[in-house]
Amino acid sequence: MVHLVTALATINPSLTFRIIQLDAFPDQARIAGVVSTPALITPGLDPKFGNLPPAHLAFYLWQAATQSL
Amino acid sequence: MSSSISALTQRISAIDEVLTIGISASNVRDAATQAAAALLEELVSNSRTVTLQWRRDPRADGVIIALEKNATVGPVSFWGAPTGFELEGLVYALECLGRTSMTLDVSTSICQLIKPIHRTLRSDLYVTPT
Repeated sequence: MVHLVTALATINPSLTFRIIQLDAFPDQARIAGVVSTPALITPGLDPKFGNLPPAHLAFYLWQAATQSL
Repeated sequence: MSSSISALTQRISAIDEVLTIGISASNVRDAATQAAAALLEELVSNSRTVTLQWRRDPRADGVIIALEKNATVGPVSFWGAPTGFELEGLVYALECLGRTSMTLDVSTSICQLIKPIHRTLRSDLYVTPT
């Protein structure tokens, strides 16, 4: 997942990602609703847990970027 | 582990672009911060172009690593000391930021979906140390 989001951010730097170590930020993770890892939290969308296929992740981000326009 | 560190060090030494790894921490003497620093210092030890820069940040609730090119922060940052696979992920992010002719393993259709997005979108990816 880290490689995939990095590749997508390289294609379009408007997409930014914080790679957060769960053990280092447990309170922040709890508040964000993280129940397992990897967990992708994007504003305005439901959290995604587990490794997403590239096309699924790309559509998810596209959806997040376009839904409130 | 030492051989994999050696391989990662080699990959960083092959980056030609001038890049900075900015490390922010509230307490630079903290054991975890020191361990992360030692690891990152080893990784850049053979590089002519990638350097570390420390920033004491009282607001940082842990180690925060930003990758920078031309004083501009790259799109991927690392919160918490990257270990295991995430350390390799950090090296990959450096390679992507400093890429000249690197090929990304992403299909054309995904590029066509992602490239036109103009809205800034910040996501958090929580990972577990591996």
